[in-house]
Amino acid sequence: METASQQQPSQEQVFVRFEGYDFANDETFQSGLQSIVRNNQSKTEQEQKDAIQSAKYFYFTRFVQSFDLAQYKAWCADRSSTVGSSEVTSTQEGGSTDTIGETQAETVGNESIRQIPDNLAEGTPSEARLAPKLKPWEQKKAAIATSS
Amino acid sequence: MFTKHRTAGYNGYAVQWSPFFEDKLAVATAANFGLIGNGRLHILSVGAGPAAGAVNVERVFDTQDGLFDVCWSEVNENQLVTASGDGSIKLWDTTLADFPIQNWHEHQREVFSVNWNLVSKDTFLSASWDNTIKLWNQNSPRSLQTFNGHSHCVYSAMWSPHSPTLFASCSGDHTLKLWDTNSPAPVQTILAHSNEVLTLDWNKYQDHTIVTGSVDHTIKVWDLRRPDRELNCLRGHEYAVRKVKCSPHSGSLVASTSYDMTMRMWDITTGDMIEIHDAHTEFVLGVDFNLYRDREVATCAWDESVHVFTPRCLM
Repeated sequence: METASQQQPSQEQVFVRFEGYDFANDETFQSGLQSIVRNNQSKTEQEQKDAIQSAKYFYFTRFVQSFDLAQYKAWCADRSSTVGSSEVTSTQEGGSTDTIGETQAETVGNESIRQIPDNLAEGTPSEARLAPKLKPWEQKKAAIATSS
Repeated sequence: MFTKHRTAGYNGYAVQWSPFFEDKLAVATAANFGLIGNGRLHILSVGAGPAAGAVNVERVFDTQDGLFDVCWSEVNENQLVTASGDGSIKLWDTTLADFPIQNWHEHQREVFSVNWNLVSKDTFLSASWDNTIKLWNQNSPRSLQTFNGHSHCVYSAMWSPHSPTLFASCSGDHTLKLWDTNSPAPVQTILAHSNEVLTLDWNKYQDHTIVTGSVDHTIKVWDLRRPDRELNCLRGHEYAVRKVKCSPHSGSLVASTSYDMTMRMWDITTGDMIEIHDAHTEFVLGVDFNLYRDREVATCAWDESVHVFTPRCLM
């Protein structure tokens, strides 16, 4: 009888599949990516890369195959100590880095995200009317103190 | 009783029951799973007795960026503070519509937790991915103090329920740290887990006991007087543990949420898992015990729903 673990791909196979996944030609991912890029324009290059990487992880685990990010990072770290990390990242980014440039150029507002002004409320904030209430653990302590 | 409330279009990050009103529940949410887009703070009123199951939306506040945490004020029954993905911290007054009454922006990255002082009640803490913790007073335009010491994102900073100056923090650097506001450096550091520590809470009935939850899937119970080893390691979650919450009603009961889509409850004296709530269909992030309806629990998840119910183990 086959066990469940034999039927499932190994963790490493999933990681390799993630890295080889064709994000550049996945329309659903690309449409989401555009808004991510738009919303991270003011951020540093590293932060933009991080946002894209998280989006890839999120998308892949949700729609393709789930895996544990911490274990993936550990696996990357193990591998980069033997292979050299720059090599790994450059192959991994592939076509999608080109798309980022294109989508940045296309940038025009995003209807799905509301612009909310950085205002403070008009009017006078409320005054506290209620005295702080004893928490359950404070009530129990008070009960013990009065009974003894 | 099992009540389900939809936060349509918004994924749940945190829930907290009011320390003043037994029916009021605050829910911090973010659109698009907190990756991009707006945030929304929901103030709900949850019925009890004959009105059990009825949820009334008292107020919603929209924000530019996703909201990751919320905490009610301990001094004003209408006010609460939120933590944002854009690094801002906002103070809200539920009697005033649309905008916050204070907006602080000092953190350089996402703010992941806010926690109001339970004893002196005049300050609150924020923990951020910029590796720092900040101390605030609601009437001060700037933070009162910044605590440096973690070498990675700080995911949570929580006041001791027994001291006005003592608090604990946990971080991506795998540690749990103990701080006193009278000292800029941590007073104690515990290498708590073999991976990132996402959450912690203080036991309300045992002064020296803290519970932590980690990406390593485990929950650990610590006695701060014996930091070399945990008292107990609770195993059962299949993915990272996102939130742990010690019951305000019992020193032995702890609730936890996880990326395995469950909320679980544990008896920390025996180490037994005594409840699995598996009604959510996405990552479960928030959980809180109602302070004044002692069997009621609320959870929120990325499935855009809030659950309010009495767990079987409390029936």
